[in-house]
Amino acid sequence: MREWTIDEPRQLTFDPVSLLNVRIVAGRLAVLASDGPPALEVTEVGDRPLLVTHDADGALTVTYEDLTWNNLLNWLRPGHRESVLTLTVPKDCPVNAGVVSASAVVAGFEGRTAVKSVSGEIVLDGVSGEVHADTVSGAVESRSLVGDLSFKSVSGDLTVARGTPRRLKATTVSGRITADLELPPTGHVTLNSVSGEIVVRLPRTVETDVAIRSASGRVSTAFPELGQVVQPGRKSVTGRIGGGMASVSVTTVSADVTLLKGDPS
Amino acid sequence: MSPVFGHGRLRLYLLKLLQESPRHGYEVIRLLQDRFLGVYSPSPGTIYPRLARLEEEGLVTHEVVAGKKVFTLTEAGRAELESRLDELAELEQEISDSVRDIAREVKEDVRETVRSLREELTQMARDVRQNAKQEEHRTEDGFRRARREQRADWRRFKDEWKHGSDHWKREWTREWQREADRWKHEWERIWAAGFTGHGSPDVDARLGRMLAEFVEEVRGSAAGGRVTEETLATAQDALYEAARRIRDALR
Repeated sequence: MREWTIDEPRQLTFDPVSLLNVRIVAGRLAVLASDGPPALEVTEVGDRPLLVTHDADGALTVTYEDLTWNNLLNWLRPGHRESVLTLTVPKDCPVNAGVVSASAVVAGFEGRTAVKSVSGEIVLDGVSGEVHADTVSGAVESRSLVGDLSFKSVSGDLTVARGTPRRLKATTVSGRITADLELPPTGHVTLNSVSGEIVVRLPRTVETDVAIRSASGRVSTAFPELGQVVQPGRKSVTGRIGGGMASVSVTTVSADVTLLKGDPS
Repeated sequence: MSPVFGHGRLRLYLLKLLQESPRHGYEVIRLLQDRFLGVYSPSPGTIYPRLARLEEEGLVTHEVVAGKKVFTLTEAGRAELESRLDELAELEQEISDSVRDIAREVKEDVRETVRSLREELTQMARDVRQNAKQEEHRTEDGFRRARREQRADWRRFKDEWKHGSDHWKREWTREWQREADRWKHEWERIWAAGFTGHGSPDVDARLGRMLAEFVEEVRGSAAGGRVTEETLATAQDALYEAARRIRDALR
């Protein structure tokens, strides 16, 4: 195992990395896929040193010695832990990234990617495979994601631009969910929200089952083939578009839901 | 990206790539693309002549392996690289600067995409609701119905809050429970299987199409025949059996 303690800006390159764990508090984190040698560049480091370990199995860990998710709330106080990190590792490397208030940019991975944040925003670009993003109040903004996608937020907004989910599951309490999706034949989409508005756009030619339910929100759809039912305590729009076996299901309590149709391509 | 490769620096970087390992031209191009995260994509028309010139200068040699030229650094090439280590360090610094720029660009780009998508969809949503409302109000009848429904809505609204929140609480608990189970399961799967569980996207899409065609066929038969509790039970058995066999095959 190799270890570094980083208390000033510097660059490191590593032998092959098989797994990346990185956790920081405030500042900016970027994790990019690259076939070059795995590298870490620290351009700013707070008043406490960062600890970097690269163990025999190839797992690379970048964190503060005393940073665990158990004492998370302490980290929300203003402090001097601003760090700016750029990591490049191979695209098939599983990535676990955690930030408290720092922003996190993660791009280009194809294995398993998990990003957690408290209040920092998460930006994902061109990530495929298995993707998890969980946040409390930070926004999750994504583009061109493919594969099994899972998002959770309390009040952070979730946006999926040009997503092609084999599975997409998004759960939020009050964040808005905006999703512009291509659905593969067996795509499975589940969106849940209490009070955050949900807007979904599907291609004009999509083939899918749809079930939208809301207790008190307005439900509108641009697909006239879906039937609307208003019962006491529940509004729902269900039906089948085309003949396929994909499925889209949306549930809210008080939030409005709108299903939109893409322009003819 | 051109500032990175001014003043014979591409030449230096090519030597460095060949020092790491013997490579063929296509591999060199791919590596350059990957190191610059796709932002710098040199064409074969740029790279092949450069490699040829390096060979003329005696810095690299090539041998043909399986129909492809594989380039190797010569002693002279190694010496040249040694003598320019400072410059190489500087170049790598600039490359990592440009990687940082890429990170920033990615972020700004995604944000911009997300912002304009939101605006677009918000506007579309407004239009859809407007249309729905107009539809509703087209007839007098519709108008009265709308008013009636609105009143009913109001009465319902109060009940719903209570009903809704109870219902939601149950849903939510169930949901988290399911999530927790799923996570546990996922973790076990991940640790057991390593990270090799994904087939190629292409084959996956073919499986998807196969399943979709299957569903279409069955739905076609169902439309022509009679679906009863009994046929459903038969279907369930058949599906379970099929799923089991496919799962076994996937192992």
